[in-house]
Amino acid sequence: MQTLVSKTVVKGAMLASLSVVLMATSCKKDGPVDEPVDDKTTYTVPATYTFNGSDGLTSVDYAGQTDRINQLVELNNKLKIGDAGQPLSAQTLKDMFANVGGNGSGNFTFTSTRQLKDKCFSLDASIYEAIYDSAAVASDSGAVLAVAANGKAGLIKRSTNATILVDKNGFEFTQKNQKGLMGAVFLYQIFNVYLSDAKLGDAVDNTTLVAGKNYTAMEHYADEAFGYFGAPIDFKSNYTGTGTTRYWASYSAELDGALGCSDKIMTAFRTMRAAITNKDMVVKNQQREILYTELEKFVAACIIHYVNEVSVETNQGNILHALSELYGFMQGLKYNTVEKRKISNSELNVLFNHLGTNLWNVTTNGLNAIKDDLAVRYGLTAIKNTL
Amino acid sequence: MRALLGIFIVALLSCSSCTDPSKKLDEKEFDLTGMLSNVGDNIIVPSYQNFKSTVDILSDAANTFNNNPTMPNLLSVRVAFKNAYINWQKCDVFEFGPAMDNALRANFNVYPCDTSKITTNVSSGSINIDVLSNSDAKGFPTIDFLLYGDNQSDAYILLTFTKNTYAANKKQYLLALISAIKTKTDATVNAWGTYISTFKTSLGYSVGSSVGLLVNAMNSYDERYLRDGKVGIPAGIRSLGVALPRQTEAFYGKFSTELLNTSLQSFQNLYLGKYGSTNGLGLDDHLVAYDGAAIDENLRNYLADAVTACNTLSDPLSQHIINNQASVEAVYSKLQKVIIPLKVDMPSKLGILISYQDNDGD
Repeated sequence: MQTLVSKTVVKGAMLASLSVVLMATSCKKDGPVDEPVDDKTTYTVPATYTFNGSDGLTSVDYAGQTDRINQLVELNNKLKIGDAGQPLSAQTLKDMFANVGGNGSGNFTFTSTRQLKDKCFSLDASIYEAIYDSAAVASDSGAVLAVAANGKAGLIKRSTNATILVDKNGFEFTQKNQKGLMGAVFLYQIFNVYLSDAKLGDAVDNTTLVAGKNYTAMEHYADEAFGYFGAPIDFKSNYTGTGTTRYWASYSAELDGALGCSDKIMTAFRTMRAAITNKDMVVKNQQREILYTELEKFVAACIIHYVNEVSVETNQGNILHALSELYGFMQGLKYNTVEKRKISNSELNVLFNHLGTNLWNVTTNGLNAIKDDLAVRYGLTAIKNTL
Repeated sequence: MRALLGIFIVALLSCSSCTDPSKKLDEKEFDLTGMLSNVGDNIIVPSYQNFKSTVDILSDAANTFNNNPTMPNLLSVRVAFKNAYINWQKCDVFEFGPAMDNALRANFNVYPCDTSKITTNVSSGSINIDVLSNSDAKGFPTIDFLLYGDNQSDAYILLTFTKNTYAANKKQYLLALISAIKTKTDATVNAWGTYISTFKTSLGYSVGSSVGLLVNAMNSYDERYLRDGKVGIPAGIRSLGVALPRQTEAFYGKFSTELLNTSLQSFQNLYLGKYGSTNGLGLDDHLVAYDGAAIDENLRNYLADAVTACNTLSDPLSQHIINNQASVEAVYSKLQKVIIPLKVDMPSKLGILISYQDNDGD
């Protein structure tokens, strides 16, 4: 049975992103009729991702995720020197991917015990090492300023006159790497690790504080999931704050006007954390479901966004650039759990076939087939042309 | 304590200020439906229909030439080609909805065309026109090259379709390119048959509203394709002052300025809601109704100045650039003045988000 408590409206200083008060009402079954008991716990979902431990200090901790986001930034920047026609070293890139020696063999500007490779979906880690190998080979031709063409790796100009390095099938290495790892590490970890029963199921310890910390294991896992989203703590729709949106959050900001995704995702992360802190397992689980659904839908929307971008693009370099991003985002749809995802591997393969393995041969019809499928599958038909 | 049953997410927000930000604008009076109907029924749809009839004529002329490649027939293909290209200028700006579905701009008007790719396509005798990577080897700019050649005599051009090596391939290529334009044009005109009602009823100012789509399309067109593509890039604005005359539109047919003038005048008419001699409801009226008379005045003046400036240019524009680059740069600066009121002042006054971006920074 369900007991409803009276509605409470909280008006915060920020009208657009109000705090939400949740009440967990317990019922005791002591007779034929369930009687509500008056030991309601009321808690507030803060307007920003700010939570304190009982010591009054912040209990939010996702330093590991921040490290890996920073590693991807620096790894991708290293890869980018190939765009300027400079030679690349595959070994350097691999060392950064695996964070050899705690500083990517001296290539990171910071040291860390974390790495991207061991958090990457294991079957896909070799894809990225192969990218580094072929980028290094292609950069040799880039170094002699070879112009890319269908079947030939090299440099191609964008509308800005800057060049990008692409493989023989037109894939831009930096985009394939960056968008790919956003899926293979960040999304994969959110979906399969941090939102999973093993980390956020009801049986996970949410009582004992982690040794030397002011948070429980479950609280920490929720923070780690949030950390991979790349959002400032005050992120929301029409974000105008000072914190930097990174990777997924930056695309959320970009698509928010059409999709309205930023508040949905942020509210779910904040509410989930508040529920955990207040031992409210029901609401916590509801928010996990919302995150599974909304994050995957958001990835699908990113793909449609890039189909649209390519459709109105006329510069060949820009087209290959946007298609490489599109490809990377399509990879992202692989990483939701088998139980939760709305697209099976074979269904996703059909979409990859529409794209083809050579970006020089992509057609508008192929792209529209991808867009139409995803629009129907994720309920985005009404906004598919505005994403 | 055995269950946590009653949970109720209390909800949320009864605050009126959280609703659509355009709400506050509703207090002002403007017949948005009337403007969309005017723009849709009297400008967009007729522009596409006129374009379609010129494409049909081009297609017929190409078929005639294909069956009977004579000099008079070549010249009629050229006339039909120029007319269709001019009419395309009146449609290019509407790159949303059906035009986006068909990727019209990428299929019709990527220039400069890649002459070596075209030559390879002709000699190989097989080309997949649909692939995006052939966007600079199809559409009007490629037809321009095929029909006019690079400063070659008409007699020589005719030979390339009749006697020279690969003449049959070249004839076939020309026909295939024109046929592809016809297919996509017909598809777009048909789609507008139903999309027009969506266009007229997607009210409001949010992302995805018709005004939002229109204003975004106008800005991206004006900035990148009109100002930069037709004038700025060939005049050297993006290449440290080094002129790139071969990057003019219709470089081979030498009627770049005519295309530019058509484009700019129809852009001005679109802003004004004007068709023929009738001045219907347009964005200008909308601005005035929403307390934006000063912005409207700027836009009207700047557009009129730009039209006047463009009229001082002559064809071939490539030669004009070589002879008097400074005068073309001056035209560019007139076009530049339009950008701020169009891209910043008007959207902010009407509550429209400019959502297109180049995404070059990532």
